Parts: sequence; structure tokens; C-alpha cells
Amino acid sequence: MGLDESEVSRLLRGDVPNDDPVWGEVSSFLDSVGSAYPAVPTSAFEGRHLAAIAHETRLVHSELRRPRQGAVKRLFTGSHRVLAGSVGAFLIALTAGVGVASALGINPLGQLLSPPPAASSVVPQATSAKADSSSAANGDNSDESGTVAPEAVPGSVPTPTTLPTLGPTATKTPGSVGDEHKNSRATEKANNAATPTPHITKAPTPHKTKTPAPPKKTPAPPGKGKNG
Amino acid sequence: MAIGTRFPEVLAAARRGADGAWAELFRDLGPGVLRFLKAQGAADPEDCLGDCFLEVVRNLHRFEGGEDAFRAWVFAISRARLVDSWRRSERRPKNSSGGLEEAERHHHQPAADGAMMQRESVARLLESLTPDQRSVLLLRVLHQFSIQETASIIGKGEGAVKLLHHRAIRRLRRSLLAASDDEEGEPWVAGLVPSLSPTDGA
Repeated sequence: MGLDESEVSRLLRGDVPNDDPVWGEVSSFLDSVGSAYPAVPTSAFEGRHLAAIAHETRLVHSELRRPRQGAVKRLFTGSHRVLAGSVGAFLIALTAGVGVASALGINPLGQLLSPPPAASSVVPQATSAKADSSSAANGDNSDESGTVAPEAVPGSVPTPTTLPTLGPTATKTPGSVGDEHKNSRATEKANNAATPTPHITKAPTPHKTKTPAPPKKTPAPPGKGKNG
Repeated sequence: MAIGTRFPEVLAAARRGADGAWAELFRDLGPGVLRFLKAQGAADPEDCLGDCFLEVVRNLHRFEGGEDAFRAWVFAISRARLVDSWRRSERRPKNSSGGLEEAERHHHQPAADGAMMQRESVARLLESLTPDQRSVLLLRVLHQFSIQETASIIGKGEGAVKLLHHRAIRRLRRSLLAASDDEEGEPWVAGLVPSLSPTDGA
């Protein structure tokens, strides 16, 4: 015995199908369900329940507000931590960098504040090599050439415009290294005796201070020595 | 009975925490929910009703919809609380002497009140149904919920609700038929359905 939705609706409405009297009993039973469980007034315990509801409402509202405040506080704390951490990391990296630069003999602040001109970094080496090679090759001791004259003035600042007159560096042979050291010493002493040339050591870049060879004086022949 | 066109205002006021709005919602829905809980055999229907409305207060910020949807939502919460009360009562040790006393009262003490007898008869017939069938039948018959609303209340699909409803009605029919075929007759069934009285020869 199947039931379709229309028959169920008729049963719920209280319409009794004609073909089967038992359905009438079912319909009567469904009617009696409503009368067996009448709506119960809740006024007897309404005050107690409403008081509990009001208390729960206040609790819920306070809990709904609390997570927002906590979220803002957490956000501020997190961003504050990130900011402090990044600043600390930057300071540590800066200190380490400055320390390494100082250990290498580089003044990082000087590098940053006064960058050297690009052309002057090559020229002093060229002048010293030219001077050495020319003196070693020619044995010329007539060192009062015109190219040295501007540097001989005490207090003058070497500029790149005075130095390129010496020309490019001469070719060196590997065997002339020892002679070069000797020549440079002799040249240094001779320079000290003749004209003070401390100006080249005042080159702006630090690596230029490591090229101490002045280009002016050529050493005396080996037989004459320092005393000659 | 229903709040009607003022329902959005009342619901908004309840969301803001107005006590008057909650009182209006409780007076509108409380009696129906209590009726449903009593018909379902809740151990303590009044406490169950209180728990249901506290749950409504806690979860009202998640609800969206109109008055019918709100009514179905409240009944769904009440059914969940009802299932919880069933589980709690199953965990409790049962008092066997109380059951015996109740059975003795049924057999030897005639009901003084006809309404009480009718209610007990209906309760006995409803006990022959499964909990889901009973829920569907009560929601459809007592509270006039649609198939869709009933499905949302008990947490099943519409097809499952239709099937449960048809099976509940067929089982009721079998129970009524078996009671009418009994020679001695069941006095509670005879009192319930007049057509099943021996004089009618059903």
C-alpha cells in the first residue's frame, strides 16, 4: 500500500480516504496528537529563563568585543616586534660591516663621503714605473726635468693634469724587479736630499698610498752609492 | 502568534542585546518549542527549553534569514538539545522500580482524566516509531513545518524526510490495525480512536 504526497497531505488535513477505513483512523490519530499535546504557557518560568537569557546576552556581547581588542593588541605587538627586530638586525649588520672594513684598512665613512676621481687611480703607478724604467735604462741623473717642477713646490697638490706628461709605463722584464727595489730606495733617499715630495702619498685613494715611488730622482750609478 | 512584519526590528534589537526583544521572541517561540520537547519525551523539557534559548543567544550573530527560517533554526537547536538530553538520560542509571510502578499504574489504575488517558495513548503509539519518524511526524503535524523546514531541522535531505514521514504513517496504520484486531482490545487505543471501539467492529 503505497502513499503519495497528496494522500499524506489529505491525511494531515484530516480528509479521510474513502477506499480504506483504516486511513480514517490514522487521520483521527493525527488529530488527537494535536489535542494530546496542547501548547503550554511558559509564563510560570518565563522570568527565570529571561533572566538567564539577559545574563547570557551580556556575556556574549562582552566576548564579542574582547576578541577585537585582543586582535588589535596582537597586531600592534607583532608589528612592534617586527620593527624592533629589523632595526636591531640593521644595526648588527652595520656594525659588522664597519668592523670588517676597519680590519681591511678601509675607511668606509671616508669612502662614502669623498669618492675619488676615477682618472687619478692609475696615474701615480704609471709615473713611478716610468721614472724607474727611464732611470734604469738611461742612467740619467739629470732629474731636474720640467715634469717634476710643479710637484717640487712645497704645499702644492698633485693634480692629474701634471702627471700624464710622463707617458705610459715602460715595459718591464721579470729580472728587473730587484733592481727596481734598489732604485726606488735610492730614489727615495735622493728625493729626500733634493726636494721633498710627500705629495704623492696624499693621493685621495687609500691604495694610492701604497705606491710610494716618486717619479723624479734617478739614482746615482752603483759605484757612487749613497754618499756620492 | 507570529511576530510578523516587525520581526526584523525585533531580531535586530535582540542582536543588540535588548531584553524586551528577547522576551518577545521567547513568548512567541517558547510555548511551541516546549510542546515539541514534551511530545518528544524530553526528561526535563523546561530545562531543555532554557538551554535551547541560551544556545540561540550564543549563535544569533551567525543567523541570517526571516521569521520562518528563524523559527526552523530555533527548533533545530531545540532538537539538538533534545538529543543531548536523551544521551544524558541513557548514561544515567535507570530506576527499575519506577518503571514497574508506572506499568502497574497503567494496568490497574484507570485514568481519572480522559485527556490524560488520551495523551498516554498517543504517547504509546508514538513510542512505536523511531526517533526520526517521531520528529518528522510531530514537526509536520503539530507545528506545520514544510518538508524543507523539517529537513533543515532534523539535518536530513528532503527525500529522507518524505520517506520518514511515509514510513511513520504506515507504521501508525499497522499499529492501529493490530490494536483493532486484538480481541480484548487495547483500552488506550479504544479511548483514542472511537472508530476502533468494539461496538463499531472495526
